[in-house]
Amino acid sequence: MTVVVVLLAVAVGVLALIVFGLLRTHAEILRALDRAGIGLDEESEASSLPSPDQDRAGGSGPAGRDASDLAGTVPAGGPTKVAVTGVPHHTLLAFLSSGCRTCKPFWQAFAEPGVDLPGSGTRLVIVGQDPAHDSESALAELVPAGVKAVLSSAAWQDYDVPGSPYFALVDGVDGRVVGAGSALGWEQLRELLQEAVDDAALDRGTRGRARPPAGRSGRSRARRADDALRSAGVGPGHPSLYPGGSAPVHGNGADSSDRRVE
Amino acid sequence: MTTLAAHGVSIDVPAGWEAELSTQPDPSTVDQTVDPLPSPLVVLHTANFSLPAERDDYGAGAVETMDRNGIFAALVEFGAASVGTMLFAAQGVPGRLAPEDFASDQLNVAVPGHAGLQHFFHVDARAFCLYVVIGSHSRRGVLVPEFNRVLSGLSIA
Repeated sequence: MTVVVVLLAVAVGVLALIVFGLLRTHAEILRALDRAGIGLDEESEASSLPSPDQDRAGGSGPAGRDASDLAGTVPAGGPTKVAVTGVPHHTLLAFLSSGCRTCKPFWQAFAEPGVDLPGSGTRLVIVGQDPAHDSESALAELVPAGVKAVLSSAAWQDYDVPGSPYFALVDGVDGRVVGAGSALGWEQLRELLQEAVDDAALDRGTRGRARPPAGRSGRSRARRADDALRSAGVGPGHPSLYPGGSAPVHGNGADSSDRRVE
Repeated sequence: MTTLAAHGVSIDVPAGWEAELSTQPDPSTVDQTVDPLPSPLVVLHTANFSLPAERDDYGAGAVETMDRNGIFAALVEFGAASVGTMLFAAQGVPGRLAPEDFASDQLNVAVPGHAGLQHFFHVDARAFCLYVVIGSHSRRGVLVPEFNRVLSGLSIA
């Protein structure tokens, strides 16, 4: 009887070790996939992609960096140069591939007539990879009629494109990237890029230049921030707003629409 | 400055300008009775505004979108049979164009205020037409010298 109990205990111990090893291997695989930016489902895929919200001007991402003009070839055509700097409008660079599943909604969206682009007089330019890295004939077939397209792996490097789909919105006057990143759908991306445009306009506005459009101004944004703070129980004069000292003597110190918290 | 080159044609494209080098369809691909072209015939477009994706060889589809400061140029190659004809008698890429040579009756697409110029020439055994449109005839004194700077970067082998 004792022998049976010992054998069973040993068997349970061995099985526990095997299960532990499998779980550990599974966790290592998940961590490796996460480091590679690969999600296991659509939701985790979306969260692994850099969004324009993360990379907007002033952040540590590509937004705010200098933009560069594009040199490459037209799909099934000859060499071309596309100017995105020193021009009086925005340019939305859409880095797309012929085979990527998540690019499909964007190919479809850009084929719609009168697609609503963020920015001022924005021009859409689809940027594919060189024919050595993607199918030129497939790209030529996918590019909607009337949309400018250029094949340029050099542009993918210049804009640090991590993979497709990826987008960069360039302010042609400033010659800078206003927002960059990705999303799973066009509407989501358009909204995020529009916010990046508004932030850039606000930044220019503080330097005495263009103002953001009505309804998207810094004041309305501040009101939204105040509402969020109030719903979290942080109201005027809340101690957490003044970590270095007491609240100001005059006025409503927590209302960022009137005052900036230093 | 970006340099585009293909089929013996090269152009330096300055900042703020765009360009595209393409070839004309070989008529023998649609008409078996026509001999294939010995080499592709080139079309070069350059402009100081955004070139639309769809436009014809002489800029219809593009010139309508440019403002009064716009400049569009097309270099269109003709078949070797044109070399030696009176129309293409001039030799070499023109060094500079004169503002006074621009006129509204030179336009392929008539747009009020625009002015154009057509210059035919040959380089060795190749015949070309250089067609230039400016967005404002009254500003030809400014726009034509600006185009001449781009023209100085055009070469044909």
